[in-house]
Amino acid sequence: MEQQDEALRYYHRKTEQEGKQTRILIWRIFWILLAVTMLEIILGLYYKEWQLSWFFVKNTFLLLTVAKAYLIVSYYMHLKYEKSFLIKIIIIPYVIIGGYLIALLLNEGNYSEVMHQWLW
Amino acid sequence: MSQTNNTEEKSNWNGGISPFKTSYGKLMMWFFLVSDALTFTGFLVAYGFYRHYFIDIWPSAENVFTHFPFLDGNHPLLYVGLMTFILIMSSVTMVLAVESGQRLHHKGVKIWLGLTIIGGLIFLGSQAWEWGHFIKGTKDGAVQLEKGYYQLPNGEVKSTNGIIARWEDASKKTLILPWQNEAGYYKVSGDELTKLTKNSIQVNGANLAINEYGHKLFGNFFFFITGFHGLHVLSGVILNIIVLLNVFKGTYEKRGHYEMTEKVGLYWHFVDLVWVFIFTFFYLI
Repeated sequence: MEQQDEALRYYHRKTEQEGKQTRILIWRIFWILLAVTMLEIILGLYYKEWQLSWFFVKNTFLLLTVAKAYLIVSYYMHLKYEKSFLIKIIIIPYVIIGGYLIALLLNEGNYSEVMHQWLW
Repeated sequence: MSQTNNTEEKSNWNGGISPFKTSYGKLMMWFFLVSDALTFTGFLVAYGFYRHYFIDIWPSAENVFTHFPFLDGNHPLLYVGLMTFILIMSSVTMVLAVESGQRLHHKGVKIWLGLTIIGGLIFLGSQAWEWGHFIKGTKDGAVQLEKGYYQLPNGEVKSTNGIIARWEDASKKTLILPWQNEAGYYKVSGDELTKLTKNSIQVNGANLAINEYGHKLFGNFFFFITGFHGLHVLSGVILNIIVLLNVFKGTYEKRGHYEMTEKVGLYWHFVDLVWVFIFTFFYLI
């Protein structure tokens, strides 16, 4: 097989009809991303007036961020439609590092307080 | 071809085909992005560690980035919201360029890729404007205290080494200390102020060594993380320009596929993805 053929072989050619459906999906994801970003900004500006607890607001931001990342990676980067093995080798490193960071936080979280006099 | 495949073991791993149903180039772009995302994870985790460590004197982004072009007064989050919108928009134009390529619609690729480049350049300009404001700082500035100790009214003794304190107003008669109780931040004025600020330095703006808004590490992390992200945007813009020139030359028309737009598209969406996290951890939380 020639080098040039390889990319052509796995290239997703689309018909006009499929293209139209893809475009509808792209714009729908765009509106969701925009709405989530607006929600984050409004929450950031007004949470003090609405007397929401910082703990709640902070975790809402984190959840919305993960939701946005999911939408970008799965639809715009097309990962959702790739082979499941490819999805796994891309996602599993982050699951592992997430667990590692949580373990580090729980186990070594007081390190900075212990080191206060040296780090200051 | 299909006959021989059926007689052999039905596996993706016997060679001859890509087990991921993806070309080499796209797979390697994914692997690069996995490792690059881990680099950004490291930066943001380090940022979180130092922020937790210096939590009393860590500046809040809503008090730092409050400017908006052609508007006076205090507008936190508005400008960075606009920057986020520009980057999301350029991500949409990029994915539309990829989609046009999949239908071999050459004109569409040119238009959407061109718009993506413009969006990237506007984003870079906005970031330069924000850096400029952060470096220049406010008119009154702040005071950086010298090595020593200060006893709070409740008896607690705090080290004043490198502490940043802001003026209450332009008359510079009262200094607001970064420590607070239920009633608000502690303030100093009169003789106590003269004693406290004997060896202090007046600070305007931020650089790597000093920062009028709070701990200098905030400035360091801000310059480093947004700068590294901006470098990614810049290289993404350059890659997009190269691909656009090739589209005009007809390179991909000759090849019969627009896989190159998919590869730079992956990179561009990754840059947008990193900004989503920077937006949350730097500006919102």
